[in-house]
Formats: sequence, structure tokens, C-alpha cells
Amino acid sequence: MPTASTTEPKPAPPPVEKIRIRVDGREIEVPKLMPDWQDKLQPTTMLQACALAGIEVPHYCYHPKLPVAGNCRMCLVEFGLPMMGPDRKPVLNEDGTTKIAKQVLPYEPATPRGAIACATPISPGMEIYPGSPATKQMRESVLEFLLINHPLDCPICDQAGECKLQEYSVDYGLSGSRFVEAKVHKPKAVDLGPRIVLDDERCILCSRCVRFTKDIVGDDALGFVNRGSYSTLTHFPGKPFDNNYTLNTVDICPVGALTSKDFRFQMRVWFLKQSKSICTSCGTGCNIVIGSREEKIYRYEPRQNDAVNSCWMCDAGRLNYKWVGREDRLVKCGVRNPERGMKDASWVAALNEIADRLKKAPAGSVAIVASARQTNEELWLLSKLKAKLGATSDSVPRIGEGDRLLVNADKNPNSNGARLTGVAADPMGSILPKIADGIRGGGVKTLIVFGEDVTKHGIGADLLGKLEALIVSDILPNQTTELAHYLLPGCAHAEKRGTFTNIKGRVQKFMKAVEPRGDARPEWEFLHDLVYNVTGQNGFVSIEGLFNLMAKEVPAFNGLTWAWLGDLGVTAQI
Amino acid sequence: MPSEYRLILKYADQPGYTPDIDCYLRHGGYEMLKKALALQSKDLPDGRKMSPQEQVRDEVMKSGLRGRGGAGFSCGLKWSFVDRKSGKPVYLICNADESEPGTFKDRPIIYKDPHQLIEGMILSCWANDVKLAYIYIRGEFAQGAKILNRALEEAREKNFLGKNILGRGYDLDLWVHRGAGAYICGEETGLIESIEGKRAYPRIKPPYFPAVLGLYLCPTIVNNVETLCAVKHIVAMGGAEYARLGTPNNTGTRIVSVSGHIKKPGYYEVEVGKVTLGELINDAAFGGGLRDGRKLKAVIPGGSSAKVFKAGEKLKLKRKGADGQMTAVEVDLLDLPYDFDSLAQAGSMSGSGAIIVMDDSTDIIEALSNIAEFYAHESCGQCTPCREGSLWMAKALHRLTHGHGRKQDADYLLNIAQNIQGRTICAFGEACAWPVLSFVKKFKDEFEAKGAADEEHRAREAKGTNPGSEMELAASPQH
Amino acid sequence: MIVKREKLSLWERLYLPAIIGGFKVTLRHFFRKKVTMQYPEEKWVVPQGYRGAPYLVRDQEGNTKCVSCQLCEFVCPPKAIKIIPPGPAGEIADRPNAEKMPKEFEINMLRCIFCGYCEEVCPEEAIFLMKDYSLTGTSREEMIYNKEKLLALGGVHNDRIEKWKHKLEEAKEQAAFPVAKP
Repeated sequence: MPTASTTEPKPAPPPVEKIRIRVDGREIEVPKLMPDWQDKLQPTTMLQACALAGIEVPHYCYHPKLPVAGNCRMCLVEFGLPMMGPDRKPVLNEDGTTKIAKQVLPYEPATPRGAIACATPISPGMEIYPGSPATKQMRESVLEFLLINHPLDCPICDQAGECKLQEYSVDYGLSGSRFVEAKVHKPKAVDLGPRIVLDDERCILCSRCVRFTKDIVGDDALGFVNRGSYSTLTHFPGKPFDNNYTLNTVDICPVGALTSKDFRFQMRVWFLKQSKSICTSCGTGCNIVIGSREEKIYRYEPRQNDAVNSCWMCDAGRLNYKWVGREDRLVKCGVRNPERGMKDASWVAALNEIADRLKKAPAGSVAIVASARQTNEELWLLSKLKAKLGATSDSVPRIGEGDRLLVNADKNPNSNGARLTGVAADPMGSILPKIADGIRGGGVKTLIVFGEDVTKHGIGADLLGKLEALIVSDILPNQTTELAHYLLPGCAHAEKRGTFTNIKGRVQKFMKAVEPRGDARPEWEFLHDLVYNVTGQNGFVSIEGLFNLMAKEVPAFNGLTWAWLGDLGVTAQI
Repeated sequence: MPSEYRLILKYADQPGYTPDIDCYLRHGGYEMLKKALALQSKDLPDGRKMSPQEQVRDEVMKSGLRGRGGAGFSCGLKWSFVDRKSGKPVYLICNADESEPGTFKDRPIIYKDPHQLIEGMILSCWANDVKLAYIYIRGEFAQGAKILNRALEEAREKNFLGKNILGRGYDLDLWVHRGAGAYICGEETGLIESIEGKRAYPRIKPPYFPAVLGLYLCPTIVNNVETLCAVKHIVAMGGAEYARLGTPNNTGTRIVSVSGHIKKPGYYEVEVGKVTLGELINDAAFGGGLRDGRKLKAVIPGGSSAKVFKAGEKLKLKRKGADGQMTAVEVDLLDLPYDFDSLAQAGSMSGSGAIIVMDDSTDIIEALSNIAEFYAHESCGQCTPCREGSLWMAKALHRLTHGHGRKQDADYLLNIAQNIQGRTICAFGEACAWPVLSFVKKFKDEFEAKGAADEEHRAREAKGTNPGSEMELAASPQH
Repeated sequence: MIVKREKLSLWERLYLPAIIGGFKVTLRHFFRKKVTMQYPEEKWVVPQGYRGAPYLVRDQEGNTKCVSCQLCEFVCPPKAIKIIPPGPAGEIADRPNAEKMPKEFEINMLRCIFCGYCEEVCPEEAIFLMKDYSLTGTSREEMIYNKEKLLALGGVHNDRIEKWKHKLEEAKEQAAFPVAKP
């Protein structure tokens, strides 16, 4: 079970003030205050209360992480308040219960009054009727209004299948159309920016994208022009919609108005298999969902994790998936023969040969260059090897530019993991020159490289040529893999399971989305075999067991278990 | 004999009266400001002290002044809602975005007597501890903005505005903000957004009530031009005296704009409730009657968004009898007293005080089509029912007026309008739905007859030419 | 449960009457019209509504009707259909305003079960089960029909609605956008 050291510090929760209300006749108690989009406590809204009661109120413009706009009117619900007498005291029914006055519009004839659930705070004794005929009628009419000028492009619309307009039309809409007038036509396939295509006809003007880019990103780039039904979403003239978070607007667009150029006409979304994963483009470790079909990755989408990335991710990380499907991926295990050059070999043969070599290697003659792009488990297995061989080890730092929202300056997804498992030096990369010196001086005869092109990090091809054995595992070919004596094809994170420790120490696991290419195997799998061959230590052959074993041995991870990480990960004390 | 009671427009139309400050000062201008600023704290019977500002606010409350912009909300009450404890500055905005079709009552004040408005505003600002106020004037009043700016300049020169006004230690600045030509800027929260430099999208209420979260999210008072002018007269007369004008709960005077098929269209200032709708239309002192040989067909009593009255309609009102009991009485349309409550009870509203008269030469469908087109053009496009519904109704009416009507169009229009009213962010939903609802309900026979005639006509044509064109017409009307 | 077996009557037990009855039926057919068809020399008339091989059709203007929505691929029970969508840089659709059409469209006729779901689900009336019932080939590859082959076999099917064209014309009428009059 988790110990105190690995749980997030939680102050004692203050007593929560509760309000009793009724939702569709069922009495529930809800907190008086609930977090708003900025996590500030605000009076609980009807929509939040209904959600707590297990009832979804349909909505378009409302998004839990954006300021409330209240413009789509889809969340209109009928409601009632305790009836007040002239003495400002609640009027009671004959049976002693409070009399509820259903709110009506003071028009002739009196019609039920709807309140927008997304912005209306609840009050004690309030009754909300999300399932009443009047509420149903309001939804029907709002949907009708939304649909009259909607082009019904569904067959050619990328959003089809994950479109809220489609979903709510099925759930709450009318079956027929009585609109006989001509639809309003607006610009189609507008180039909004380098990554976004806009179809104005499909837009339902919910303003989610406008609010996102203004209030979350701080780039007030989008806005509406024209009036009434001719209102049109657009960017400022001459200034394309181009910041590092534009593609999030595609996710939050409830319809197919904003679509991604990268994903445009690539695949229908209902074919995509969704695998929970982690973005590896920087140390933030944004939670993502990988959409793949038939072993091909089509897109990354952010997955909500309020402790890490909220609902967002950056465009750079999102589009950084194409290398996984590259044609020149390393797919064959290879052993270099002095006469005949690199020859394909079986995994067993290659691993046995490497193990034999390592076992014979004198202490201190082996060096390891690991990668902070490897998982915690792989790094931990390398640390086992390091300990057994008395090897020196380090990994390669990558420092770039960060921003105030999500992008971290550390471009390695697992710098903390490399540090905590003891594979990377502190500061990272400080031992690399020593390894280079060791090779130059002849002390280091065997170099194990994982996922890095060391020729770019101070250990040039001339030095690599001096080695007796160069054991390289990588995904894509580079100068180091070309010089390798033993080549072990590895997997992209989308092809295996494992955990990363992000820059704040959050240990997060990711799932496999696609099968590895060719003979490639997850690094942790063959590293496990290698460690067994070299040290005789047996461990778990499953990632779950491996993680649990590692968590016992690495102090920072003490108390963690694979299962307890859940989908959202756990913050370790680092 | 009903006649005008000119209070606000007392001097405006007098020969020789000019909008400059000297002329205003000659006519007793800014005296009320001097009087108010000289007020002393008053001791209350319970021992508390009442500040001069509170005294003015109290007078306004006592006067029973109701907002002249359209909703007729009590001005004193509105002022009392202002969140004065927040520590944030309080703003006052004069809503001079007069754009309701048929309304032209603020324009003469601004053009002919701008200093009266400014004095009223300074008094209101002072009473509410406002340090910065705006006049939001509609973009089309370009000349009006010039006049106001000149007047403000003059007032600043004379130290009625600026730092340490009249040496009494009160600072106030007033700015004219010109709109860019959108009807929705007359909606108070839309107006606030517009001043903030954004699109005039009305805000959602809750939470953005102007009295708490208004301009720059500070407490804000938005009052109509006429209301602010009335404040000056309340200070002059005292609240109780002002309340004696008009009728109980409908106090004071108000300027009524009468237009349409009458002999003497124009603005008339009357005591609220002392004059009937019929007198405003027919009396020689006001509208002067319909054109010769014409009969009354319909009256829109409060700007184009108000519900229409059909000629000859009997309206049910509630009257307080001598014993204090409310009794229902039936009143002929033309005998309806022109005040806030009577019109509301009769199922319409006095709105901005614009009476639009239509005689029997009017094609009621064309008239509604014209109104619907206006609202479709002016809908801001923020929330769904109004954005889509207003254009939908306009298109359906366009169809109806261009020979493509159907029998069911009357109910079709009613249903669309019902789906808009009460479901929008601001009152524009009602503004665009009510004309349609009232026109179609009250003149349903005309709408149905037109639809039937169109259908018959198409059927005849279809017989003559190719069969099946009727179906096509119904499916794709040519606009 | 025990089902009681009825005893045969004497007439039934006689055996021969039933034999004779059987012969009578056989004999009667000697004098009836022949129903056996000499296939393949003789071909039968395929009735209306027959569900033969699914092919793609073009509209009266010779444009590909399919917009690559992949609903048929989704609904196909034996997964006989494979569509490669055009992608962002793909060829734009034949039909103006339709934006997309398939880069490749394959039906594996060995897998197809001629259920007609594809025709039913198609929102563009682009695929029809035609009257072909005898599909032959000398290899498995040959039985995978590609887009060109399917379009050639499908021929032209008149588009009564012409949705995309209608939309484009309607939009052109509103070219003075936003229109001054509704």
C-alpha cells in the first residue's frame, strides 16, 4: 500500500458546506461551493449538481476548463424554487413539505422558464427538472435552431462520430425538419492557420475556441465577425491562428468547424482504437490518447489530468508521432561479424553472445549511455547491469525552450527517472566526457548505448571504432547504430508499456497502442533477459511485476504499485 | 382637455434656445448642481446621519421615477442595488443608444439641450459617488456626439466637471463613447461590453448584474437619457413633489414619440398616465388623428418590440376601487391610459414610449416582415434561439410576402417565436419574438388567408404548367 | 415426456397404395413444363431488387459519388470493404463542393456476402448491389476489386438530389455575403 512519502501532500479538507436540492425528484446533498474552470471555489451550478446526481445536462458552449459563456442554450432546464409567502417564509404543503413553485415566464400563456444549468447557481430547496417535458421541449427547440443552418456535411466531416451535434440530435432532437427556407451559407475550408482548417457553415458559434485561445493560451487570435445568423468565426486579418496550442481548439470544438490539417480526411474516428499514453516530447508528460488503426497511429489527443495538463497539450507534442511509422525503422536484431559485417541474428543468439561478453568483461571496462527517453523500468534494469559490471553510466540532457503553460524546457520525458534509478549523473551528461576519455585511454572497452546517438554527444565515430564491443539499442538508424557490434531494435513508447517520471515527479504509466515493427521488442523485455543472463537475477517477466519490484528498491518509488498508478499517475517525493 | 406637460423639454423647442452653456445658464442651468453640492448632512430621528448623497438618492426613491429606457424599472431601486461596499469604483453610464424603431425622444434632448443631460448626470454621479461616467451614444448620432462633446468642454471650462467641482471637493469626468451602429448596444450589458472595447455581446445574468459586476467588473449604473434628465427635476422639485406628477406608481412626465399614419407625428411630453392612447393618436394637441378617410388598424404602443394592439380591441385592466380592492375593468384600446402598468396589464408594454400607428392601408404581413427583418439584421448572434430564430422568422415572412406562403405558416411562425422568447441571454429574444407572436395571434385570419391564397395560386399555376412544381416550391423557395 | 405413437391404420399398413400415390406425382411431372435451366449456356433473368455484387456508381455528370465516409466499411459484416481516404493532400473530389472522395476503394469479392448493408448505409447513394452474381477470377488478388474496376462496373446512376451541387448553387446565390435581405 502507498506510504505517506509517495502520496500528494493533502491538507485536512475543510468542512464542506452542503445544500439539499432535488434533481428530477431525487433528493441529494451537494457542496455549496465547487471549483470553477480556474479551480476557484464558486457557488455550485445546476449543471454540476446534476452531474453529481448522475444526470448529464447536454451542453455545447460549457467546458469545465473554460470560462462560462452561456450562449448555446442547450443546457436550459426547468426548475422550481421554494415558494415564499408574503412574510418571506416558505409556504408549506398540507403534509408539511415545502411548496415548490415551478418557475414560469410571466407571459400569456405562462410558459415554463428555463435557466442555463451551466451558469445558474443552486440554492437550498431548489428543484431541478432535467428530465421534464418542458426541459425536453427546450432542448428540442434549441437543437432545431442549431440544425436549421447546419450544412449536414456529416459524410465528409472529420468530426462525424465524435460530434456533439450528432450525439445530441440522436438523444434529444426532433426526428424531422420543418425548415423550408434556404440555409445560410458561409465560407468553407477556410485556412485559419498552419494547422487548422475552419468550416464556418458547421460552426455553432459556441465560442469555446475563442475563449480557449484568449483565456488559456493568452493569444486573443480568434473572434466573430458579422451579426446574427451570419456570424462567422475568423482570425484577425493578416494574422494566422498560429500558436503552440491551436490544435486544442479542434478537440474542444463540439462540431466539425475546426479540424486539424494533419488529421484531415485521414481516417474516420470510429475506427480508431484509443490507447492511454503519455506524450514524450518534453518533461511535462501530458496525458494523451493515441488513436490508431491497424498498427498505424493517426493522432494524439490530450487526456484530462488536472495534475499535469488539464485538458490540453501543445501542437508540437501532438504532431510528434510520425517517426513511429517511419519506413527506415530498425527491425532486425544484428550481430557484426568481423569478416562479413552486420548480420541478422536471433534475439536469443544475440543476447547470449552479449551476456557472455559482459560476464567476461573486467570490472570498470564497461560504460553505459542510457537515455532519459527510456522508461523507469528499463533504466532500473540498466542500473542492475551497471551495478553488476561496475560500469560508469550517464545519459544525455536535452534542454530547449519552455513556456508558461505546458511545454517544459527539459525535452526528455524521463529525466527524473534516469536520475532516481541512478543511471544518469547529476547533473545529467557530466560523466559523458569521462566515458569518452575512458575509451580514448583504453580503459573502457565495452559501451552499451540505449536510444542515443552518442556521436553527437562527445563520443565520436573514431572513439567508437576503438571499442571492443559496442552494444546499441535504438529505434531509428543513426551513426551509432551503423557502427554497432550488436544492434538491438527497440520500441517506441506507443508500442510498449511502462512508466515515466515527469519533471514534477509524477509517475505515470502508458499503454501499448500498436505492435512493434518487425523483430523489435520492448527494451524492458530484452533487458530483463540480458540482466538475467548476466547477473542471474530473475525478476518478473511482466511489466506490472517489474514495476512493483522496482518500486520496492528505488527509494523514491517506495510504496507505489503498478495498479495504484491508475490512469493518472501518482506524484512521488523526489 | 389633455395637453402636453413640458418639464424636460421645457426650453428645448423655444425659439432662440441654443444648446450652448450660456443659454443653459440663462435658463437656470446648473443651479440644481450648486444646490445639491451645498447640501448638508441631515440628522435622522434615529440618531444616524444622512449624507447629502443619501438625501438625493432618497429623493429619487421617493419620486417613484421609473426608467424611461424600456423596462420601466424603478430608478431609485436600481441605485439601491449598487454594491457600494466592494471597494471598487462605481461607474455610471448614460444609455443614449436610442435605436428602438419608432423612438426619437432622447435625440431632441441631446441635440437641443445637452447641458440638461449633463447636469442630470453630474447629479446622479455625485449621488452615487461616481468618479467616472460615460455617455454611450449611438453611432448614427454623429452630430449628437459633437454637440455633447462641445457641451462637456464648456462644462469643464466652468468647472462643473473635472477636479474639485465648484470647489466642493468632488471629482468627476464624463466621456462620450460612440457606438458603431448596433441595436444590441442599447442592452445594458452589451453596452458595457462595447465600452470595454469588445463585441457588444450581452452578458449572462447571473452572475453579471451591472449593479455588482458591470463595467470592468465594477458596480455600474446604466440609465436612460430621459431618466437622468428627470433626476435634475427631482432635485429641483423634491421627490414628493415630482411624484405628484402623473399617476401613482407611474410618476412624472415622459416623452412619447408618436409616428405612423397620423397627421402630426412627433414627440410629446406628457404626464404619465394622464393621457390615453386614443388622445395621443387623435387629439389635436398630439397626433392629430389619422389621415383623412382612413381607419385605425393597429397600434404598437412601445417601440417595435412591444406587442401590437388591434383596433377595437377590448383590454382587461385591474383597477384599484375606492375600497382598495382590485377589480377587473374592460377598457377600449383608445381609452387605455398611457402608463407603464396599464399597458403591461393590457398585455403589451410602454417600452421606450414609441407609439406606431397603422391605418387600414397597412399590409400587416408586410409590416411584420419589415420588423422581423430589422431584428434578424440586429441580432448579435451570441445565443442560439435569437440568432437562428430571428432570421428564420424573417425568411418565413419574406416567403409569405413574396407569394410562397403556406396555410400552416401562421402556426409555424408562432411556434418559432415561442421557442425564442424567454430562452435567450438578453431581452432581444422577447423583442424579436413578441411582434411576431402578437401580430400573428391578432391578425391570424390575414396570415392564414395569405397562405391559402398563395397555395391556391401555386396549385393553379402547377395545373397550367408542369405537375410537381408545387412540391419543389415548398421545398426550395427562391429568395 | 412420452409421445404416444399412433398405430397405423390397415390402409396405411397395406403399403402399396402409398407407393402408387408416389408414382402418380412422378408421372404428372412428365407432362409439365421443364424448369431445369441449362446454365451456363442458358442465363436466368435477374429480378428487380436482386442483391448481386456491390459496385460504385458515377452520377450523370460522370463524377464519383462516393465521398469516402467509410460507413460501408464500418457496417460491412465480413469486412470485405477497405477504403483509403484521401488525406489532407489528397486529390479533391470530382464533384465540386463535395471536398473528398476515396483515394482507393477495394471490395474483396471473396469475402463479400452480398448482404446489401453497404447500399443501405450509404448516405450518398454511391454503392449499389447490382445484378452480377457470377464473379470469377484466377487468383485471390484478382477477386479484390479496386476503385477503377468498381466504378467501371457500376456505371452511371442518376443523382436525383444533387445535394452538393444544390448547396453550391444556393451558396452562390448568397454570394453577396452577408446578404442584405434574408
